Amino acid sequence: MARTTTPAGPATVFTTRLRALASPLGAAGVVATATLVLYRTGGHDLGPLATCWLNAGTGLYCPFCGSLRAVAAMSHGDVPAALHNNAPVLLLLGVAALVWGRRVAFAAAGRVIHEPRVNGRATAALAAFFLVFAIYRNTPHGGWLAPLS
Amino acid sequence: MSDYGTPPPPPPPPPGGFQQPGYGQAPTGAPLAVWIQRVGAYLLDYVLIVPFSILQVVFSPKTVTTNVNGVVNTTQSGGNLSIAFLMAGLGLAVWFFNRCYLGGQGQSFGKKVLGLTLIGERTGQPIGMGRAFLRDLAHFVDAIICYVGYLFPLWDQKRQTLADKIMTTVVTSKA
Repeated sequence: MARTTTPAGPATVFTTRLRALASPLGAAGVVATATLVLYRTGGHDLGPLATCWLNAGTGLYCPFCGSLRAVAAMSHGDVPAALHNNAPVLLLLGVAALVWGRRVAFAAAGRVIHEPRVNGRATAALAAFFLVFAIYRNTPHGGWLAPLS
Repeated sequence: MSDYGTPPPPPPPPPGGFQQPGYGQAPTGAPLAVWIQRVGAYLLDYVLIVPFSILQVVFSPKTVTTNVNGVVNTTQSGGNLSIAFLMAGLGLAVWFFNRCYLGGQGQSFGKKVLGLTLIGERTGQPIGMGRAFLRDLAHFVDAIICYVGYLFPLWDQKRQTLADKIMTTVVTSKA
C-alpha cells in the first residue's frame, strides 16, 4: 500500500518556502510596476479609474486625494512634496512595507506567520482620523496638507 | 501498525467555547476568503457580462468625423439603438441573475469557480436575493473613497469590504 502522507523532507520544506514567498513577491512586482507608471506620469491623468469621484464632482479633497501623486513624488525622492500630497497615506504605506518585510522574512525562514489584523475599533478610529484630516485639509488652514496640483 | 480495534480519541474542543469563531474563521468554521481570491471571483463575474458590453458598443451609432483635404465632415454612423439597448439590458439581467439570485443563494459564478461562499456574518446562511442586491449597491461606498473600501479585506480582521460591514456578511473559502 502506498503511503497517503509524504514525509516532510528538505525538498518539501523548500517548495513550501517558495510557495510562501510567491504571494509577497508577486505583490511586490505589481506594486513596482504601478510605481514605475507613477514615476513616469507623476500620478496625473491616469484615466477614469484613478480619478477621485468626490474631487471631480465637488472640487473637495477626499482623505486619499494626492495618494498617487505622493507615491510619484516619493519615487523621485521628493519627500517634502510627497508629505504635502498625502502624509497619512504615505505613513500607512510605510507600515505596509514593514508588514511586507516581516512576511518575506518569515516566509524565507519557513515560519508560520499571523498577519496583523485591524479590528473594528481600530478601523473606526482610523476612519475618524481620516474624516478629521479630510475636513482640515479642505479648510484655509489645511492647505499645507492638501495635494499639490 | 495494524491495530484497527481502538478508534482514535476525538479531537479536543476548540478553546474559547463554540460560540466564538476562531481567528480568521466564519461562524460556520470555514476559513475566510483572502482578498486575491475575492478579486478573482469578482473578475470572473465581470467576464460574464463583457460580451454584452462589447455588443452594446458595436451596435451603438457613433459620430464619425472625417477630414478630407481640410473639409471636415461629421456623420452619424449606422447602428441599431434598440439592439444596443437590448444588449445593455441583457448585460444587466445577467449581472442581476448571477450576482443577486445566485449570489443570494451563496455562490455567484465566480465564487463557485473559486470555491467561495457569501454568507451572513451572524447567521452563517446565504443572504438571499434582496440583500445580495443591496450589497452590490453598497459597493458604492467602497468606490466613493477612492476604492479603498475594496482593499479592506487585505487588513480587516473579518476580511470584509465596507459593503460586507454594512450588510454584515462575510465570504468564506473552502476548508
